[in-house]
Amino acid sequence: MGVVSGPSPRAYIDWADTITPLGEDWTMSWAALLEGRSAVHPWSASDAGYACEAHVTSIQGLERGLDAEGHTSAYRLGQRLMARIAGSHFALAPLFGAANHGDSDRVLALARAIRDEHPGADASAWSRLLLDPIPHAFQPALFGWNASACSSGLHAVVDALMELSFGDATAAFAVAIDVLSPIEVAGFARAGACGDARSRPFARDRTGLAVGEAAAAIRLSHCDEHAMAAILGVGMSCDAWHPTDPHPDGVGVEQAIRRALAHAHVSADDVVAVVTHGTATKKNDAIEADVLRRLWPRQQVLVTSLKHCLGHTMGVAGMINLIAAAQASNVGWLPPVSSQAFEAEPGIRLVTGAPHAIPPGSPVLALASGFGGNNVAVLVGA
Amino acid sequence: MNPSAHVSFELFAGFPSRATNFPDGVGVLDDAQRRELVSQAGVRHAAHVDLSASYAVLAARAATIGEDESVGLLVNNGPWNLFGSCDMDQRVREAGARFINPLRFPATLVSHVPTKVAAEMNITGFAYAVGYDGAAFINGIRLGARLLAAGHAGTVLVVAVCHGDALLSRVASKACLQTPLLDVALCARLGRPTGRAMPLALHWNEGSQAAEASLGRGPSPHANKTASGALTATAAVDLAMVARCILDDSWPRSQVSLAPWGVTLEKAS
Repeated sequence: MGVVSGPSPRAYIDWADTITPLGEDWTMSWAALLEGRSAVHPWSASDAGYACEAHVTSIQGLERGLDAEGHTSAYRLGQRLMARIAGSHFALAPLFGAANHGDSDRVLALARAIRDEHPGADASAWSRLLLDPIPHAFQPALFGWNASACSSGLHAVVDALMELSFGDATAAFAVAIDVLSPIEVAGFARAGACGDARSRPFARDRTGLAVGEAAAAIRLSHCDEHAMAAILGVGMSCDAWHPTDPHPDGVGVEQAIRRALAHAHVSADDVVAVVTHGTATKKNDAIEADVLRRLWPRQQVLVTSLKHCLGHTMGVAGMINLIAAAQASNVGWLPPVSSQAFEAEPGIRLVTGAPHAIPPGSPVLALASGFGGNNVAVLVGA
Repeated sequence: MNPSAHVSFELFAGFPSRATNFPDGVGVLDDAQRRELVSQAGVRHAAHVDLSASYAVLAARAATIGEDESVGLLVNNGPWNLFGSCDMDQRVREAGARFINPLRFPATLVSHVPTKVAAEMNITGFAYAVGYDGAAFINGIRLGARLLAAGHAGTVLVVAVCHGDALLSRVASKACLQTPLLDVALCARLGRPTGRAMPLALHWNEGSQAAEASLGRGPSPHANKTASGALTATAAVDLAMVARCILDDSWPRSQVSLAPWGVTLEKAS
């Protein structure tokens, strides 16, 4: 594959916001990330049928399940995010979104309606169950929607970049939404991916991930005024390997990173930090660490992960990684994995205990990988 | 050429195929026919086999790719995770969450369809699901053209699938959908043409371009209601029907507006 053509002219992230288990907005979440504060807590399924041992992170005050109008919790979270966009003092622009397991309220309601025959449900209720209603929380700005498991958020960024590069718009929004799903927690638990309360990415004694939830939005434009960072390069790949496992040699992750670097015309040596996918599962972190060692054999790049603090926010995780990478590059501080130091995978320069200073404006890489082997890497900087 | 305004591609029918007079033969298959298609697709990881993935594999396979091609894949989003999710929920109800088969977990995600196709065909550029309504195929073609122009792949396959298995058909029936859910699988191939399929060009009606004829959804002579049972593949079925008419000269127009989708289709020069 040849070198990817750059977005022309350059695209900048000039606004971002989040709703996460660490806070109602990005300012609160960023402060907690710099402290290495964790929101992980034990899972207590409101639905007893899905009870299992797992740890999760959750957004405070988010009402669960379908409401009286049949709207799902993901839809309601989407409406909250859309209100932020509307209140951002930026005009509405084409919006590209993504979700992962966000529609599980809907499919569980559907499963039960089918089983119970749901005699009270009218045709419109069944219609709402048939197609995903979450995207419609973002009307009238909605231009595109995607799903690629835990890389969905960064694919939404790619879709928005394409609009900015080839469409008529001078700005575009990318959004991602995911809410805790009993299906997801139970599925990860049975797959052996869920860990204990520490949920420490790249720790030698890591036990697994904490499933999380969040919503995130960014605005991309050609205007560099007040921008957090510029998008320097984007790379994508697919392992084409296994429904859940990453390729054991990490070829897909490495390919995505190399494509992003080539796109940006930046060498690996120029990258100062990587906000990894870093889930705290044994397989993902081992493979990702291998790739980091191959690309930065002298440990010349700083490495962090946000999932000890935020949990694995699934389809939103990549977008939050990107926002954090942009913020880190902008202010010159890289958040630690956690507030406590621990023994990490060998051969990588993991940031723990306290934030690490980096030269403001320097290139920082954000990564995301998803079930089925999708990988996306985005390089940001001044 | 701005890929936002004009896209050339080849259209392949996974099934029903030209041999079964596609698209005239588009419709609802019976269980035996569906089982035969699943068998033809031969998707690995038997625990994950479902109609949407099998259909998507058949459509993508029709648009044969060479070993040296760098390929990306987009598949229409849709309720393709309902079967896996309902299956898992039933298992939880009957036996408890501790007895879920983790191999069935990926099928609770819509994106298992594109990644399964990617694994079957060694597609390593990208593989994700796009769209949220009947226009998903058109949206996929536009996005695919942009990704191609940006160099993210040398060839992009855009697949549209819909199927009417017992579960989805039951929901569609409850939702009073106008027609039963159709079984269909189509693939648009963007990039270097193979010369083996319908050469077409799609224009977005953003300028003053006026088509010679129009396909609508109202009571016009050229209205098409057949595709209403195709969910997020609806635009794909519309497009295929018009393409067939143009290429067979059975419609006395060389350029047709697909009014509901804001595009105009013509035979590529």
